Amino acid sequence: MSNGGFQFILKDFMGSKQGEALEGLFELKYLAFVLSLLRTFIMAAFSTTGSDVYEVAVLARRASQREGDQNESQGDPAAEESSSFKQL
Amino acid sequence: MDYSAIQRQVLSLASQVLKKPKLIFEDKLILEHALNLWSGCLLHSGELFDEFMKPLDAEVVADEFVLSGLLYCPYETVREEFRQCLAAICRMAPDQTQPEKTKPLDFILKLLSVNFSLISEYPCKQYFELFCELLDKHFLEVASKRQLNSQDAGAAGQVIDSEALLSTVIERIREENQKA
Repeated sequence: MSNGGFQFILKDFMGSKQGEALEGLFELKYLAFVLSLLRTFIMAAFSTTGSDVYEVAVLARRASQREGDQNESQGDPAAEESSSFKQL
Repeated sequence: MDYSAIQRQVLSLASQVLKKPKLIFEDKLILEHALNLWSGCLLHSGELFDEFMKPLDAEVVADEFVLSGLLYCPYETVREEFRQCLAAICRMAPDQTQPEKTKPLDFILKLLSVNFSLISEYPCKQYFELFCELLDKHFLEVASKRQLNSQDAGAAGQVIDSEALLSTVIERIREENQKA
């Protein structure tokens, strides 16, 4: 942060054009990584302010736990559990 | 830091991803991080929610965004992310200095209540769970305001049309019974 790394990441993210950023696999991975870094730094900054820290921490922890789950189905909605009104 | 600009960028990004017909792992990761970042920004700076409800550009429409993630999206993991994110946002403490402002809880609850008739057309576990959670929270708040004889209690009770909601629920149950 002292060397301006965070500002660079933020500027890069804010400057990204979304049509292009969401096209190729590399661009998607890059965007996900940049978002992950931004989230980590910004959440860490928020946690020091003391307000609603718990909520933020729960969300961040939950997300980081799932990050390693690479075995998830690759885009087939049918592979995921359905939850219709009838089942409820 | 310009949180307003970050919110616009994050929401626009998430909205674009949700429009894709098929999501791969990286798309879901982007949505997950984007929602985390957005909810963090909102928890930090509550006035951003006003901008979300009334955006300057019409690129992200609040109602459409919530429903497309929580109900229309065919991926359960994405719907679950939306449920967690919206539940966290609705748990935000209201700004006591500006009681006239629409609270996230009221906005989301009203949106879910008005669109309840849609749920039989989509996978709706997350929608239903969030709706039940918000209803509980809403009526607990109303009860606690009544105990304090607050003038807001009457207005708070009018966020949802309970009779219309009950009719819709009964209608949906009847429809499902007829299908069976």
